[in-house]
Amino acid sequence: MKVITVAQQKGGSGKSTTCAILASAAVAQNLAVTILDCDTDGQIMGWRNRMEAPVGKTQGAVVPTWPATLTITRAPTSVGALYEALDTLEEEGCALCLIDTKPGSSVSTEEFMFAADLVIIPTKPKTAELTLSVNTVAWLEKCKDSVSRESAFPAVRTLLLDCPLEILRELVQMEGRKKLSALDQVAVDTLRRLPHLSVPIQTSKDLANILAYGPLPAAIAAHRAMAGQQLRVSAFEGLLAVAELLFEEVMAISPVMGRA
Amino acid sequence: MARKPPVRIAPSPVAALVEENAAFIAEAARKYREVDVETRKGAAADEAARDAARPPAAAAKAMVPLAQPVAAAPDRVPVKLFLRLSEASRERLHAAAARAQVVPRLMETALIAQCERWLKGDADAGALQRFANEAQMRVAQVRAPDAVTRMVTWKVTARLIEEAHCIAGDPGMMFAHTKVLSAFVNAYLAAEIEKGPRP
Repeated sequence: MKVITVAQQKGGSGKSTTCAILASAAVAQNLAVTILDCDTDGQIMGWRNRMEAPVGKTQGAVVPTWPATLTITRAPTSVGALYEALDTLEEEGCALCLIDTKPGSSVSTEEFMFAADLVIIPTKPKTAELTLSVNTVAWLEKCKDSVSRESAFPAVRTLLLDCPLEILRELVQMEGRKKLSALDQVAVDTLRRLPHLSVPIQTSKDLANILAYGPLPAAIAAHRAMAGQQLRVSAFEGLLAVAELLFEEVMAISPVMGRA
Repeated sequence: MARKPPVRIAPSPVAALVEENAAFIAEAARKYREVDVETRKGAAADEAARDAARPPAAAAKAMVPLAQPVAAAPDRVPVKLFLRLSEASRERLHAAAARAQVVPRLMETALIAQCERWLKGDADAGALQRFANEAQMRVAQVRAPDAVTRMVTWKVTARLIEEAHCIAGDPGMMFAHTKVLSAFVNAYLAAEIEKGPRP
């Protein structure tokens, strides 16, 4: 089982969205996935309810079916209970455990990071977000200094979310820097210096609303059953394809040894 | 193979921060509790005085009625509208939220908006504190411990930023204690969560 903790000091950076993206990719491959929600605003805990809520949905809309392989629970409140829960999940055949943390820096978030194989720091290409991402990476470096050399320590990667097309093009070296504003150039340079995942997630309204639509495979199936939703189905499929690329990359990353 | 926590050779960064600032955190917690009790006492009296002083016509103009569709989705009321609702409309909204067993997120959002206004100097601390108390009580009524937790976070953060401002005596230094405040908020929240939602 892979344990991934999603952490970032800034609120609204996309921690829950990252969990939703990775969970969607795991569900698409029919893998058992569990999300432990330790965020105080319970965005992920409410994912299923929001998906099924009739408010704001068009009349006659088909409500997606929640995937049987996706479980969301509250995170344990003690370190002992956390490791016990992880062992139980592993015994039950869970392939991926995602831990969605709260913003800010707290002792509990540190424990959730220590328990992971990989810590993902979602970030957006904006100065404020990147500054806090740099701080979060530095925080993890300090955490690494607090464990022995022999202990396993999670690998750390930033994930670029909400990436505008011009920055995406620059990142894959299609267009060159001259089309970027000075601030965007700084953002891209900062991002490149951080240990980052190679798959960026492009700006998308569907991504922003993923917590209202439900896991992508379920959302695709439901929208296929509705008339006039072909464009949205295509958008979801595109998003899922990116999610699966990201999933493949994160599943291949192994933890490192402490202070090594 | 069972997972094991790493072998620690030193406290983690935040744990070290809490340890280093234990005295400040304890003192801030004591001060906060004192201020909290005083504020609660003062809030009811202030509210009554304000209601008595408000001319009926002006009050009617400032408030807006609660439309039926809004009552049907109590957790989706826009913050700006919520802040302008009359007392009676807010009561209806809270009743609808309680019936639907939904977390009235608007209270959280509105509280955050109030905090931001206060930080910018557009609202006084007393108003913020009263609003925080009301929000916390209302959310507790619909039994949403997580939302209560957030209320407490904002309330304590707001109060402690004010204290930090006093300590530093300089608005530019206001956020100098942010990390300590954050550590305190975490410590305070742990205690609050253990106690459960306030009645």
